[in-house]
Order: sequence, then structure tokens, then C-alpha cells
Amino acid sequence: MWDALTMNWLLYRDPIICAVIAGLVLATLGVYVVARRIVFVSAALSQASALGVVLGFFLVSVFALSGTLAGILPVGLALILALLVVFALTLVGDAPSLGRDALLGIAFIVPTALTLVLGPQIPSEMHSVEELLHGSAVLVETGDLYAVAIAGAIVLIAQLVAFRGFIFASLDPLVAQTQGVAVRVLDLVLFASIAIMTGLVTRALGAMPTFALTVLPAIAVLGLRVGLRNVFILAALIGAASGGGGFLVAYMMDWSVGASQTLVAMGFLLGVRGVSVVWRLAT
Amino acid sequence: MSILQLNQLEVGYQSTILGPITLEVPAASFVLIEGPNGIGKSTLLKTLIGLARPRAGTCAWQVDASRLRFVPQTRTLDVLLPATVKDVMETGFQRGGGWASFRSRPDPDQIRRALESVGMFGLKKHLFRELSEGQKQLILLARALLADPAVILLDEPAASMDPEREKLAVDILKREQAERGCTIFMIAHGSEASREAADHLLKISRDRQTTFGPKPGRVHAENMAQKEEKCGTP
Repeated sequence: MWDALTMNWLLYRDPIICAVIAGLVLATLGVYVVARRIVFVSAALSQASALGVVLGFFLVSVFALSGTLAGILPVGLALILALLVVFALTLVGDAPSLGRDALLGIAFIVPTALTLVLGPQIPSEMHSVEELLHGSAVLVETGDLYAVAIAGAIVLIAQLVAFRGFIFASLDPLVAQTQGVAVRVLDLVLFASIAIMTGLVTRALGAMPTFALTVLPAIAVLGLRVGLRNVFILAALIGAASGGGGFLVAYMMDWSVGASQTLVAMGFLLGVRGVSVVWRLAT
Repeated sequence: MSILQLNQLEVGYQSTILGPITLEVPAASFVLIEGPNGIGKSTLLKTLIGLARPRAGTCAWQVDASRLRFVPQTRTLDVLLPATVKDVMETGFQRGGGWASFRSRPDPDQIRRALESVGMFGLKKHLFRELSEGQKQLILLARALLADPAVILLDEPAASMDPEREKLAVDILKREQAERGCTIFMIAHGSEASREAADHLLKISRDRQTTFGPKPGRVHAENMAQKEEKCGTP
């Protein structure tokens, strides 16, 4: 297996690197997503991004577009729709007559329905809806890899520079505001980071692994008593290992890549939680 | 010298629920805020600290906003994040929204002293979410003591504390008032320890009328002291 993998390394290199970076960054953001009980936001963003990608391919086929525009339209629309969901949540999500959950419900189910309606209209040689939704990272385009890598680097740098601020705004927003911390700005940056990474990774890997790499590593580590920084570091490592490891499992077992990444992340979750329980009982 | 001046202040969100209030609070006083449930005490406190905008009138502090401290109710913290007591204490040094705030570094000595003053230094490495509500409230009080506070505003801290911890919290606040000239604003529901410690009362009645002044017993004590001064004590 390793021989075949090393022989085909050039073919698999980009998807593996992309999955590792995506897992690293999404899992870091996922700690906030799970801790702030906004897991459904991530699910809605994945679906909105998937709709953006499908819509992009649909427009490319209908208008027979080619060149750069055809290349950036799917990912561009994925980002735009994901950011629209974030801004809608920020601006009207807390309106008493609507509520955040209602808006999330709409943002999840309507893009899902539209994806299923538009998907079959796309010529099958361009992409199958199944691949877009459930993930098929066998071929990741170089442009998508660069986009995920650059956005991921910016998100991680923002986290490193303003880590205390993000934590304070998430942990104790009231007191953070009284101490002059720009809670709204930090929240906007955080939600925009989640939206951008979700949009880019959905285009590159698919909607299901994007959601799985965001929430499962975070759920694995949030029960640990290892300190806040270590929780983020562990989540990022599990995310990266799930992204890359899932690809290897898919290769070995001839499974769907997205499903394998999801199951590997779930395996880490069960393993970490199990070790944590045993450790507590033993000490 | 007053530390806070309210001029025709009205507080509320969609509509005014309290006010207009006009008063001056002397520096280094211990103000107890009393009133029935749902009357607007917390909204008033949030308006004073800047979390809610006044609906009308003004609220003017005579100290820099960076020296105001707010001690919220413990349930306002998101405890799913596995923050240790140390993590929570370190947020006390995070101030402002500019670049300098990202470079601020916590002072471990101050954190130690503050935790020792509330008897919680031994819990420094514990997860905040695993503490009792009373312990959490004392940790939040300790955080408010960091970095030279001038005013501490507390939103019903006694609600989650047993009488012993409540007395400890009030004693710490009295000490801050006496030694550092700190002004205390505290919402309390029938807390005897707070009532004894307070020297000023801001009472809100059911018909939303506010009265503010020295605590009655204190006026009597001050009058007695003045008489003793005039007449001389044996």
C-alpha cells in the first residue's frame, strides 16, 4: 500500500496537504463553535457553501463560461453565501420576532433543498452533487489548496495574535465589554473566519468532512482538564490527523474520502474521551 | 467629593423602566442597591458600567473607565470552555481593543495575592466550571481586585453564596473601601452582611421611585459622633 502511495505521491500530495491544513484550522475554530453552542451555525454554513459551489458550476454550464471566471465562480459564491449567513445572523439573528435558531433552520434547509434541485442540472463531467455534499478529495485543484492554505494561515495568525481577546469575548462577554475589549469586532472576525474557511474547504473537500472536521475534534477535547491553550492545540492536531489520516484510510479501504475523514475524527473523539474517563477513574 | 453623578438618568431597553434619577455618590462609599425583583436594578447597574445606553439623561464617572470593575452573576460566563481559574484571572488584565491590549501580560503576583485574599489560591489550576457557584463568585470578585480598581459594581453576588462566603466577600469589599478608597455598588436581596457593611442605600420601590442617601443607622451614628465631638467625650 505504501509503495503504491509513494509512487502516486504527486497525485495525492495536494489532497492530503489540503486535508491536513483544513483539519488544523477548522478544528481550532471548532473549539469556539462547540463551546459557544453554535454547532448548527457550522452545519448551516457548510450547506450554504455547498449551494454556492453547486450554483457556481450551474452558472458556468448554463452560460458556458471558461477561464478564470469559471474557476473562481464556485468558490466565490460559496464564500459569499457563507458570509451572507454570518451577516444575517449578526444583524437579525437576535430579533425577538425571529430568533437565531429560526434563521439557522432556514439557512440549513433551504440551501440543502436548492442544492438538490440545482445539482442534477450540472453536467456530470463537471461534478456530481454527491461528491460536493459528502466529500471526494481525491482531486484537489492547486488553486483550492493555495486558497485554503493562505486563508488558514491568516486565521491562525489572527488567533495567535488575539488569542486572549477571542477567549475573553467567548468566555465572559459582559465583563470583556466593560474592560473595553472589542467584543463585537472579535466576534465578527471569528464568525467571518468560520465562514471563509467553511466556504473554501467545502469547495475543496466537500460539505460533510468540513462539518466533521469542525465539530468532532473540538468535542473530543472540550472535556479535558489540560488548560485552554492545550485544548486548542490538541483539537488542531486531531483535526490535522483526521484530515490526513482519513485520506489514508479511504485509500486503504477504498472508502469515500469524506466519510473516512469523518469516521477517523469520530475515532479520535471516542479514543480521547475514553482515555479521559480512564484517567479520571485512575486518579 | 462625588465619584458618580447621575443627571435625569433613565434606564431601560425598548422603553424606560427606571428613572429619571438624579444623584451624586460620594467617593469611597459602599452603596447597597435594593428593590423588588424585575424592577430594573441590574439594568441600572449595566447602564452605570456602560453595558447599556442611557435612554435619557447622563451618567458621569469622575474616574477613568479603565478603573471600573464589574462582577457579574456566574451564570453569564460560558463555562463549556475549559478555562482554569488561572485562565479566568488572566482575563482581568485584558483591557482595551487596540494593539496594546494584545501585548498585555498578566501579573502572576497580583493574581496570587487576589486569589489568596478570597482563599482560593489552592484552586488556581482547577477548571472554573467544576467549582461551586459560591467559589466561582469569589473568583470573579478576586478578578475585580486586579490592577488597582477605583469602583467595583457587583450584580447580586450573595445569590450564589452561603452566609460564610458572603461575609468573606463583604469583608473583602469593606477592606478595599477602607484601605484603597474603593467605591462599592452592590445589588443585594435581603443580605444582612451587605446591609451592615453598606453606608449608603439606593432604594427602588415597587412604583419605581428611587431614593438615595446615607443608611439611616449611619446618619444616626454620624449625628451621635458629631454631638460627642461638640460636647466632648468623658
